[in-house]
Amino acid sequence: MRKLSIKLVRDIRAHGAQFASLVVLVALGVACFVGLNAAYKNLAVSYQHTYDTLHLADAQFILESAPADVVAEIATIPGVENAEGRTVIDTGMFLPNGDQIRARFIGVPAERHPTVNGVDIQSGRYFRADDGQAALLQSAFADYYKFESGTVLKVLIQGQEVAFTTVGVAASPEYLFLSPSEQEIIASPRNFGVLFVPQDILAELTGTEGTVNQIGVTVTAPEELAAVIQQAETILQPYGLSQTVLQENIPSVQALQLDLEGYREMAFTVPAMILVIAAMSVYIALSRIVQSQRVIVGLTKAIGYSSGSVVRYYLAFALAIGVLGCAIGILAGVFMGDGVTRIYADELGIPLVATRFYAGYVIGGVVLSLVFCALGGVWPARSAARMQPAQAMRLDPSIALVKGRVPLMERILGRFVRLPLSFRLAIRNIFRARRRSLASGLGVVFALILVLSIWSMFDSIDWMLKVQYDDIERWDISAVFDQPQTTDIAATAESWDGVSEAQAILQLPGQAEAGAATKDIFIVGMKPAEDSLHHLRLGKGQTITEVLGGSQVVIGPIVAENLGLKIGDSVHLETPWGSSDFTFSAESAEMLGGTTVYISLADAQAMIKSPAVNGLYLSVAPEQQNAVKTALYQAGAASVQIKQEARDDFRSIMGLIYVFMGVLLAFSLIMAAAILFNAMTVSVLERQREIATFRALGESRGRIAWAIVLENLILWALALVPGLLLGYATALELGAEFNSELFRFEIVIYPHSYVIVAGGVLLTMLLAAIPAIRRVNRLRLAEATKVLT
Amino acid sequence: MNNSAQIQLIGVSKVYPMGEITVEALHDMNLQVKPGEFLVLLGPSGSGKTTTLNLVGGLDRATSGQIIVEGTDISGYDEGQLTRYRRHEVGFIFQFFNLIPTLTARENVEFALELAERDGRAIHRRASDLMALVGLADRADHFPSQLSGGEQQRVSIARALAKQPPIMLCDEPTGNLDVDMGVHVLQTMRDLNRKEGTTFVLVTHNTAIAAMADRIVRLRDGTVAETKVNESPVSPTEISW
Repeated sequence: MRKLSIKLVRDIRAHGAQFASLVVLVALGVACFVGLNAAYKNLAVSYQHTYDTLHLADAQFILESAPADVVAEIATIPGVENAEGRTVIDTGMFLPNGDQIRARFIGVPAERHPTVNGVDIQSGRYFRADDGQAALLQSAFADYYKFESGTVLKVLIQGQEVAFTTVGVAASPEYLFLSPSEQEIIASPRNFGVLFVPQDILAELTGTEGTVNQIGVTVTAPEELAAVIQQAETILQPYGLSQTVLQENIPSVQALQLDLEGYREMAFTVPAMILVIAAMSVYIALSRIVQSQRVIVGLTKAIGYSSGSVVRYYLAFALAIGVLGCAIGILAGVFMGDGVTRIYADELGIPLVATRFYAGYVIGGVVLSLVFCALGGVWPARSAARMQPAQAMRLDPSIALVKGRVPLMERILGRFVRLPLSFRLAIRNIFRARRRSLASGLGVVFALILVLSIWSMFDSIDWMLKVQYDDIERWDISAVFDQPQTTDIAATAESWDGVSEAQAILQLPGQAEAGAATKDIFIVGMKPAEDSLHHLRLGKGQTITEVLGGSQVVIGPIVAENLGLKIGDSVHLETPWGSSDFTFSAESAEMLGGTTVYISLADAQAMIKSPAVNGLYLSVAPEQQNAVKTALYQAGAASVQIKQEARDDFRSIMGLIYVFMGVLLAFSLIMAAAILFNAMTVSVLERQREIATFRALGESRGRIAWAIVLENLILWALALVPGLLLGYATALELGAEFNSELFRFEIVIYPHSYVIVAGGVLLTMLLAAIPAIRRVNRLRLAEATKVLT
Repeated sequence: MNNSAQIQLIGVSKVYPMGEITVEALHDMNLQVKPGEFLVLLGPSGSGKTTTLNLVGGLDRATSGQIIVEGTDISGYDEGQLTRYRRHEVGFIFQFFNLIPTLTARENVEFALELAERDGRAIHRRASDLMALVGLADRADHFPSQLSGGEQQRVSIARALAKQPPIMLCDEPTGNLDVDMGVHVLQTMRDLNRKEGTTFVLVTHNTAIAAMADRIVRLRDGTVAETKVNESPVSPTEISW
């Protein structure tokens, strides 16, 4: 083997700890790239595999009522693979503990699995012909309450309590995400359950025998869909066809797609951030190594090696980091991709999970690793090649060309306080070796950026919940009624023990139209003067009485953006019970449920031509909340939500995101440690001869260690402001990836978080300097004071 | 230009920056070295000895003037030409040995041999021969940190000789050695000069060593102050300091 190659291997070993820390950085970046992208792909494939295997409808027709035999007519349309009709109702259901929640009942054939919108039995069994009033529970709902085969649930159907016995738990491709509607894309299984019951039993109980109110179709080829829909709509028009829902618009499919898209952005952004930092760390480390090997570089060229040899040597050093980093990263990434997929699938209850090996991402990981490392190594390699041999061998790299000036920082500080010599020396050490100090300082800045930007996610989620549940939703209990109520319901509720205030509202599903753009929305009509229980986050100086009433509508920023609306624009609101034109008067920055729009109660009632209300917000003393909840159900509420429970439910929905953020935070801490270790090691080892000279003069190990600590403290202080500022800017970029219709992410970093992150980085810095200080303490002074390297 | 000289410096000046000041290391220097000559450059610290050696060795570039080696002006060489010049025309022995710490003694010699030879076995054989020549056959597989100063210097001599250059440039080769070891090193150089006809330019501030030279050139303030031919060069074994 050629001596330059042997030298390379031994140099890597000599700088083993630094090399390892850089390999860790690259490996993390590659692992994130391979793992996150593989998981994204796996999830997308798993979702589609589930949809295909369980025959999720390509189109679903929502009707008032149609005879069941029209399904056979639909099935004969050219291009239709399968057609299935069913009855679907939303109603109240009693849990075994007496609580009432909303439930959706979906009719399925008892004698066979449905040919469209099938189910996958997770436990128990499918129906038998003689089951009678049996039910299959949707898996998320069943898991939440730990219901299983044999559980009896009572349902309110047409005012009658009817008992259903659970025969099994099933996953449904329509409800991989528990999404009741386009307007309510996230629901908690605490308050909303989905049950599959025999179609004939459901029809009998609802008095709709021989009819269906939904027909789902699958097509033989995607290009047939448009024609199939056209023909089916023509056939179904007489039966009160209100909506045709394409597969991609099914609420659960939409919710999962939104989630996947956010995830895909992360799968690009996070690895990119890590690899950029890795490349810069390679550049810094290799620059310092080249500096420390100046004499050897000069000697190599003096002997007759070409500049090209020198470039190739140091580039090989950088690429060795890349090769090892990508090997480890790819292995870790493959496992990570698999692991993340399974955790996600488990959490969401995806019945059919497909994990694959994606050679493209592996190749991509290799290419990225080598490219970023080459980019980080090329400049130090070229700077080494450009050295004149005599100059390289003349200068001791540990003694920079001293300018002989007192640094500005020392002069400024010195005006206010008498600085001890150790402090002055520390400041001068920093400013006399600017490149080295810059390298160390950049290491601290990178560490601050990494840790703060990831930590900010936790603060921002906490802030989101605080704003939504403390500032916006000021009620303690909210209730929804299936049947229209009069506004007297509020006064009635206020007469109950513990209720200090009640506000009646009207909630309607609908669509907003502006020009050619449309958006499914949820409309809330509320009295402008009564916003104490639900507060709108309006612009500065705006009041609710100014922006509601007189056919004005308050819309969230994402819906406004989707519709291309500016303040003052006209927007048409359409509901199944009526429609009207409104003026976009203000934005309300809701954190959750960004598709809700607000109009005055009077405008809502005028739109549907009815004085009815169908919802309540209540302020209730904590000890009376359960009693009030019962009273509301007895008053006819279909669903009652206690705010604390809603907050807890949301936290558990966010569980996956917390886990994901936790893993990223762990990664960022490892990276910060690797970066700082590199920076601190370089900073100390380059000055071995100088430090040995101090020792030779009589300075103790303790005082030398203190001098190094002091320098690190000053460097940390100098890097703090840029690092925290850039960390905040990076957090803003990352936070933008999370914004969606599901929730709005405002990046907020609590003051104490800055302190925690800054303190944590400082502690890591000091710990990272320990190995280098220990090495310096073991110096043989007689040699170290003579040898140039 | 003197056609009989192997090395000529004609009006050479060298100025380089050092922090905030500039240093004129050489000023209008003129010097000639004959083929096979053993020349000693004497002078106090800062007189320009090492700078002269660096310029002749192609390790640095003159600010002005001509440096003619074997009839060719190297002062106008580009980087590639200088690389080939350093590879084939000169060998360098440094005061601080400058061995590569992560290579063994033999590997340090092989490091230089690989520039001219591809055959691994031939390289290994030649390196072993050179190690034997400098009396370190039994220390060939030791790392520099395991060798004494004298042994390291002998390795650096073996490395310099590996390319069989016509010109050897030695910068204070005995500066970090004791007397006995220093004499031994000087003897090795003397033998090469007499037997192989290798031209030696040796820089030192030690006047005792000058006694072994064919000619002594004293430098002062970056220029030649005195040139003296040594009619009767002594053997290194007769030198003491």
